[in-house]
Amino acid sequence: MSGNDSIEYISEGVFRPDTLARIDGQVHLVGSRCAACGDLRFPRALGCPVCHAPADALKPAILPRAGHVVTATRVERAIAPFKPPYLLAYVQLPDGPRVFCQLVAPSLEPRDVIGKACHLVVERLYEKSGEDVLGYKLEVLA
Amino acid sequence: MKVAVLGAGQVPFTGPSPLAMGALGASAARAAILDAGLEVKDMQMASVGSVYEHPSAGQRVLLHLGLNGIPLVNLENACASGSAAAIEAMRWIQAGVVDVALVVGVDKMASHYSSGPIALVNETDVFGAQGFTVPAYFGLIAEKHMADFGSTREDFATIAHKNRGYAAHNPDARFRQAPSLEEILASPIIASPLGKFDCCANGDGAAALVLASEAFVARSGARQPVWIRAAELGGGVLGDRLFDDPMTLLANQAYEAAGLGPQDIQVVECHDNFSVGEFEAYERLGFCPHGEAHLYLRAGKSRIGGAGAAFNPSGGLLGRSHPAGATGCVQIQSIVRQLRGQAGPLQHMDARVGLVQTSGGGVMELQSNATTVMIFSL
Repeated sequence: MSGNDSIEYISEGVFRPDTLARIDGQVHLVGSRCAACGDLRFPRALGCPVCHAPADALKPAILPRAGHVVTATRVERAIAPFKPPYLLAYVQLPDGPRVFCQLVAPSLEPRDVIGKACHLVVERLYEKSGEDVLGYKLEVLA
Repeated sequence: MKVAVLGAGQVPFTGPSPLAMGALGASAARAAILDAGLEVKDMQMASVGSVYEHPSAGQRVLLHLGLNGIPLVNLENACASGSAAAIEAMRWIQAGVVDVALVVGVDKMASHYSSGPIALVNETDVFGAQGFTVPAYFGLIAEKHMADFGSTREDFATIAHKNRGYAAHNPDARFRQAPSLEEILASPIIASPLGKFDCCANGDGAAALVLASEAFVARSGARQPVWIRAAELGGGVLGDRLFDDPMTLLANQAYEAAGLGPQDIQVVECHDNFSVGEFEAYERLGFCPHGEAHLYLRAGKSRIGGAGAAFNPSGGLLGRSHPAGATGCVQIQSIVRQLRGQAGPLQHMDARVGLVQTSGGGVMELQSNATTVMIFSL
């Protein structure tokens, strides 16, 4: 998907304010596309790691909201502030990058979700100083 | 210029040690120097790998060794620090700067960390914000292989069983009690499909090597020098490890430099920080085709006495434990002992050529942060 510079980022309560945007009422991940070589990357790069173009060659890129699960694992031993169990995954976006993320699929095992379609949701990632910190997850579709 | 390993030594790997880091490193260095038939004063430079120690780890090692004034390089390359320190020393010799170099790898990870995953990134990082753990990353690799090719949790457990079984015969390994396959499979899951025994433990320990030039070897009349036939060091490659890893590229470079291939190699020490680390190495080092690691394993080819190469005959990281800086050096020590025929009950028959592979990680946008592949022969 094409990018533009007038993106309405979702920043309040989000762990990193340059990762999520609302486009036509729907939430999207925001990455970057290199104007020189076309490299599409998430999260956005500060300089192109492929062709070494400088930061001004990198434009925000709105990424597709849906993809499929390439692989997943159920985490049973976590590092604070995260509380197990939860599913971690790599999700392949069509014509885009692979995104490392938690999955929203509480009762499913990795073997049940690998290959499945999923779409972006904004959820609580963890708690910090008594406040929920929000971020992206991918919800597995039935 | 040819460079040889003249000596190798270690201190036993343990849980939290009361000894100072510098004392551990110096003890390993003395063992390596003794093994080389040399004296401390013969060392012309030192290259010291550590990851979780304070600055100037090498200075503290040399202080305990009573060696001062020689050029010293401290080197951190994540879990590949020890093998990278060996390659650094080799380059000093090849450049003609010195004839003899001391390599030390040391860490006290068991003292610094209790059990459980180590945090490599915090929650301001896109990986850290999702609850990343290192076991989870390797769980993702294992789950993908299971989904794509039909490998099973039992395959990974078999590697843990094999390596812990070897460690039971290695007096310097931290874990000398070999669990049964049933115990391994019944252990709690850390990150599916990997259970507790599929994950290496932190350790305290040190290992050391003495490297020397071909001219020095000839002058000294050293017995059983083990020659470095190839030594490749690669930095991080952009991407994720699910689809590729610099291990393959570096192995191919090493095979070309040595004029050898996987069919010529009888013993391998590879980076089994998780059982799937050894599993993926079967494929990525070229010992079996892509997608067939479980078949290589099930045929017993990676065992001592098997029809392939014996993988991690010293017990690997799973059996020895993992003092990160020491791991690369102790892997090389294991291969040196195998090639000299000094591995006792862990000896793989007819071991003539050995390979060491070490992976360092931590920046998750890269497949690996640092990878080394080295080939050795008598």
